[in-house]
Amino acid sequence: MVAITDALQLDPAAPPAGAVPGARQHRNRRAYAALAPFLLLYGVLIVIPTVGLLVKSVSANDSADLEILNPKLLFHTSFTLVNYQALFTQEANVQTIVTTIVIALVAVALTVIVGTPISYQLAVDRVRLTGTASWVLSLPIYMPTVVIAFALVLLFGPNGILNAATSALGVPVWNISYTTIAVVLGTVYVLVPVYLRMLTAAFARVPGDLMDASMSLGAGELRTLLKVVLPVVRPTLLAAVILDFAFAVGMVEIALIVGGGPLNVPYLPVDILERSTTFAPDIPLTAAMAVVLVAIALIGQLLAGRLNKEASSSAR
Amino acid sequence: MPASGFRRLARAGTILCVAAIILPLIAMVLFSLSGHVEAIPTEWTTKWYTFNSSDVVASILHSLEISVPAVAIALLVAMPLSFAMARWDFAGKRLINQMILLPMLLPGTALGLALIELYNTGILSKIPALAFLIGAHVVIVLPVIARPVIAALEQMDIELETASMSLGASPATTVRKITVPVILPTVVVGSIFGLARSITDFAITLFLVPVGFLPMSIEIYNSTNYSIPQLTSANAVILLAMSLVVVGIGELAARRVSRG
Repeated sequence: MVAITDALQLDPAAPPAGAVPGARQHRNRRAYAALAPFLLLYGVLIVIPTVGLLVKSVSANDSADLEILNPKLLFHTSFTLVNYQALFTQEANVQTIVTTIVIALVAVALTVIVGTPISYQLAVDRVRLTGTASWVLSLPIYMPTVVIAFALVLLFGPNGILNAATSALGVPVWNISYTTIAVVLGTVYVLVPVYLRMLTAAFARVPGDLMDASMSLGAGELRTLLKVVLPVVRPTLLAAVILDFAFAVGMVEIALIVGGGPLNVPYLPVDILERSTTFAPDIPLTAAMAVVLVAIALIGQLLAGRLNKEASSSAR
Repeated sequence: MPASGFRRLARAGTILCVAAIILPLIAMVLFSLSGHVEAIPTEWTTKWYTFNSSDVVASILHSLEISVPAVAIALLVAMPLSFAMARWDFAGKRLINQMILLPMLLPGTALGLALIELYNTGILSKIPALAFLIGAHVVIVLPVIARPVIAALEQMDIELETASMSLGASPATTVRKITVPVILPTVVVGSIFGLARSITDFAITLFLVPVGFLPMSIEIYNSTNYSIPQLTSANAVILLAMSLVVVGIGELAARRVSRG
């Protein structure tokens, strides 16, 4: 409350920048006073652990604490890239990385194929129940992923409703529980709503005149979508693809529960989780895995941010 | 204009997709009401909802024990942060703007692993495990609250505050009569979505949860492997209902905010 009253007291009458010597320092000091709780919180619980993880991943310290906070240990630490070497050369690790990337890529590709026409429809086709459909399709964003994963285990399993339907029709029994296919489908379930949210907004921003012009010149709706509308939303589409990919690679619940653990479907986040609960976890290697996940997430965010900027500048 | 072939196809796709989203959830509800392990119940029962009701109540309370204090603390941190971000210009503002989002971007297993190793380090391990877990939830809730509040403050007409003070109201009165009423709905909506984010968290919570402490998401995960599937279904339906009720209230509140 002190900060709030301070803001009101000073801001409307604040001197213009540079008018009074020291005004800039004063404003910085005032701002950092208000930011202090935030900086303390993020410093302790985000910055220190993330930097600590990075240091751990280039160390040979197989201990589950952070050497950056322990000067004695840090002094004796020998730094090495052997953990990353093991991560990218040992067969089991390479297989985990490859499976993770393939599952994420296939899931994103399916998401684009399924999600693009649907988001177009939701954005431009104002028929009855479009709003309701839009709302239902946004729900999984807010649902606990653990619950989604368990519901899919039931659905895909031998006692699931799909199996009941297929065996009633006399076709070969559907049972894909604990397989890579199940993990791909589960990942699509979680990705589609995120993709729709971004793309529907982008389609809605495309000027209607543009589509009308194309169609009045005789192009069909599909042709208009492919040749006229998609090029306009392309930056957003690429941003959505990158964000969905980074999101999929970092998501643990679906691969863990729908995949049935690392022995069935190896997945990087599942491996991190499993190693952290075993007796011989190889902590620096696990840290290297986590650093790779963080790098994918941050690079993805950076690229998507660039593309979104491009999208908003082309919309103007 | 008559619907083109493509548009009819797209509509069919939307309907199929809605069905695909709902089907697993309906199947799970049916399963939770089934006496035997079968997709379409032949014997209907609600016994799985009361089978271990004391455990379920305990884990709902455990979830709230983490989430409610986390949201409250996150609010206290988010308010001065939002004011500074929306109203003032200062060195490093762009960096901090990016930083706020970090907990949303970092993969849960990576952040969870980093946090448990932090907790294992030196003096920090003296902190009660529950307090540390709540701290971690404050961090993941904070961007959910701060982002909309910053946006609301940026959109708010500062002239209102200036006018109030030029008419003789004190800064404290102006905050109470002008600023708070304008941003309060956004604060409430942000807190509700923050609560949902915290209740549904899995990965970070799994790393940090104290022994014997089972919030809903962890309880459900633990029971997916060995428990009776109908029982897990019933628990999952309860958590699903909890989160959808929280989000539903949030959405209704948000709609009232945007209507003004």
